[in-house]
Amino acid sequence: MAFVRPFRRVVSGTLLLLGLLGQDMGCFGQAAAPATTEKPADASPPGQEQAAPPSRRPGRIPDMLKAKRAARKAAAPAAVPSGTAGAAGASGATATPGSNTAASPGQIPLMEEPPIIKPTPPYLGTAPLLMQPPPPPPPPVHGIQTASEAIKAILGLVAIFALAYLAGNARIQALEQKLQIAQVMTAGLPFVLLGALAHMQQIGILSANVLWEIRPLLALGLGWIGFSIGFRFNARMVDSLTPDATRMSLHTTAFPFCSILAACALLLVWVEHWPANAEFVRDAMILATAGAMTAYSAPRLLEARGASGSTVDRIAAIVELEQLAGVFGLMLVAAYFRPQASMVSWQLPGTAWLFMTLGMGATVGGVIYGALGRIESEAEFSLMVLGSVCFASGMASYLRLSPLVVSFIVGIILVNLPGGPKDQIREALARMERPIYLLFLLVAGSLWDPIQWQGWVLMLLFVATRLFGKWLGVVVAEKRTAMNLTQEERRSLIFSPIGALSIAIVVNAQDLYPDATVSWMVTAVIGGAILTEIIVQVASRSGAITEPEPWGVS
Amino acid sequence: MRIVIILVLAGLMQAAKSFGPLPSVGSTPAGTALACGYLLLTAFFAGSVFKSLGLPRLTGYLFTGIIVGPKVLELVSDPMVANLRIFNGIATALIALTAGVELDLRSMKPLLKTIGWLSVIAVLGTICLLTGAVFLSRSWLPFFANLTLVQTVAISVVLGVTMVAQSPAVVVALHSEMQSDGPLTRTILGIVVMSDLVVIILFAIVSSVAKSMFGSGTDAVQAAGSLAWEVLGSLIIGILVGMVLAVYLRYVKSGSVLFVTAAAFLVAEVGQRVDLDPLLIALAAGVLIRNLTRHGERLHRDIEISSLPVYVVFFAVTGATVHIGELMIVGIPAVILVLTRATGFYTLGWLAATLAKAPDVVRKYAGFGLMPQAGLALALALLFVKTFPHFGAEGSALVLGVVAMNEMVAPVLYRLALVKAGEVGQSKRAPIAAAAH
Repeated sequence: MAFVRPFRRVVSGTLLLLGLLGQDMGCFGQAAAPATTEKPADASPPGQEQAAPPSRRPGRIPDMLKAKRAARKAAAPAAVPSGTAGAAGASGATATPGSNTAASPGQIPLMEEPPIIKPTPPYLGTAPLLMQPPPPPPPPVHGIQTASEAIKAILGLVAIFALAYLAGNARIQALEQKLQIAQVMTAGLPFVLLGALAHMQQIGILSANVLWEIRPLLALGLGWIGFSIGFRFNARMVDSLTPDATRMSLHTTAFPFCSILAACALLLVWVEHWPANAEFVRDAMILATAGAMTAYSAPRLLEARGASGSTVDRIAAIVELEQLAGVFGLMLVAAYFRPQASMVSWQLPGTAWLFMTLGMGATVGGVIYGALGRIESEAEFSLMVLGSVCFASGMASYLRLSPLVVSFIVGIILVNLPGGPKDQIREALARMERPIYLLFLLVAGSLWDPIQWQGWVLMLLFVATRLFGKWLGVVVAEKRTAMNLTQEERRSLIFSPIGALSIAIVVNAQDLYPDATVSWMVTAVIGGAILTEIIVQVASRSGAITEPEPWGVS
Repeated sequence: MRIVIILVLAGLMQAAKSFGPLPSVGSTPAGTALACGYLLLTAFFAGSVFKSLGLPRLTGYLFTGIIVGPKVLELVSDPMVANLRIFNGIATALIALTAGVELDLRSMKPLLKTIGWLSVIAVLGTICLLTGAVFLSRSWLPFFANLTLVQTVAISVVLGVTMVAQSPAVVVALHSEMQSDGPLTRTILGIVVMSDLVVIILFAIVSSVAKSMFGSGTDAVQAAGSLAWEVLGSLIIGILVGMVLAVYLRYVKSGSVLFVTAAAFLVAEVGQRVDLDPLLIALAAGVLIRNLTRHGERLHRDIEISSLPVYVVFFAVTGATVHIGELMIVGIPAVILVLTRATGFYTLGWLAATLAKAPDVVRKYAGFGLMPQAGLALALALLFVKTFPHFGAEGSALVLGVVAMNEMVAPVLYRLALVKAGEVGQSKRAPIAAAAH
């Protein structure tokens, strides 16, 4: 039996460490939730129940919980006014540091329980200093109510669909090239504007009720973008990256990320609560992630200007890595800044959600990989790709994770596992990419609330700090790497357009965190994309030869 | 391997449900997307498993819906199923468009006599048999307890008409899956389309008459107006839709798959909201394109390319709405009615085909083609509830029980009939989605 004692010690030590780690991660994971320490039980008015804590808490050791419950039971009758004791005791919500001290030494647990998180309405604390507080989120909507509303929406959608179709028509594209607006059209920004117009009350095609009905398209669109990007990251592409390109992309991503993070966090801290919650950190991180990336159209733009193949490849590699960083950033935000606790039944620490994201993507990717070997016809491939993206993005969205990230992982898994019908998947993706992408932008546009001026202020800061960060990143990278950029490359990296992934990131954030402040960020990024597009166009006109060919996710 | 994939998908779905939104949160758009993806993948693989067992893929889709639906495993919940019903309209429109495109009136001319006899004798005769069976089974059906004899007969007739409804959707999907062509295939297609019209009109008439038996007299002019709007209005709108499609197919060379899908969506969603029948609209459009233009084949190919995901979800959702609970409650009368319906179609179908001097395969197997049942009967069951609110729900449960049994068995029987008739694989069309359906 001599070996049992050290073994026990090791086990209990490990459990303690796990408990501490879990507690630490749990706090981090819930940092986004507006939270206050619950008042002591005796402070609650008679007859009013305390809010029940989450059913499961991370990082608890069962023995500690038992001891805690025992302590709670012992303390509850004395602490809670009559009439509430039973309910409060049953819900376990009355535990406070004070009540711990009332327990006998034998009942005191190894660890202090953290304060119970209780959601409170945001913006009730300190008054904002710079901007007005955002309006409360709109009331929930539940489907189309009247036949006329439905018919109007259907006809409107069909009209928009026809426009989407026209946008893909070869003759229209030729006209766009002639008018030198192909890049703007390719980025799909007119569809964002169209969505915003359709959402206007006077037009009312995409009303709140209609949006509720077609909202699954949003998850599908996000998933589709993630899957398309993930499917480009094959091992061959990664192998072809030079260390200099990697370092360059690190700089061109990190500098704008940091500059946007710092500037926007400073701005947001004025409007959000400090230090009661960490929403401003989350929001600034989302903005920084969205701003750090360059659109895929940047290398195409270079190509169209007559740049050499190697130049285009170098910029394309940098852009690919930036996109990877963007997806990674979104994954971290979605995992560590969870939406309000009531949205999912399991309360896990942020790191667990991170692993959940990775595991979900890998599992779904593995299953789809196994399934694709059984497919014979073109129609079946389309079905499988559609079903896979829908399933992966739906599952992620259902668990309040990012559909974009999970589908991205699925794409990476599929493209990097040996064998498999990659060409057919590519064809199926290409076949359905454009309509789904444009529909996504349409829905994204309809979710955009450009009325609030705060978003436009944020946009100016966003664009300015992004340009500054890109410039600084290029300058520092040139000094620290052996890469000698041409004037064209430098300009391409600094005046880089904002692509669909950036818009997708903020739209994804809006889906995850339906706070009013997130709609400001949507304005910042969509408005920023339009403004940047204009800047890029102006910058490119000087040496432009031809416009780039349209392609899917730009 | 396919079974393993199905099991893993079920495990993932269960995991998602256990981690996901609290029950009180209800269905979310994300839940709809999740259910759609899950049903697409699972039903597709179940369909291929069923195919390898010699059963129709369609039965696999239906079976998947039943098993994973709210009544059995609850992997797909009721709100999710409700949100996915948007596929029903599009699928119905696409199926009717396919049926219309298949109806080449010139090649069907020799079969018109058989179709006419079968429609009159088999369909109307089976209505009589079903009416009698309902009347005789009334002791098992408590909602008949408080009705007078006349009322009982009237309700029996309404239920008889409701339960005779066939399923063009299942028939067309099976034809597409089996790539079948020949006298049996064409005759059955003609009858199910024709009897769809007959049943809609008959239901409107008999339900109005029956309602008047309960003292709530109906305005005959208003009822006739509604019926005329539904039938004639649908046909006229269908002709207009057909003309638009024809113009598109004539002048635009690309993107017709998307255009056809969008048109189906429009027909389904707008049609049902203005009390038109999407099935009739799409059918008329298809018939027009097949018989008055040269674009029938192209339209058929476009529909086949776009329809697979829609069909898979549609049939899986149909399976998920099968009322297993009702089947248990109304078990005995439902079994009697299913047997009566099958016997009626088989024997009267044989009699009608013999009178019409139809080919042997039609005489032997026509009855099996009339047995599949799905959407129309369900829609009529809902109308029955609306028309007779006091006991409609109980009567509807009986219809749902019959439909549930027919959904599970009839496609298998009709597939066997097509195989025996030697018409499988006889279609000259390129098998674009042959393996898919």
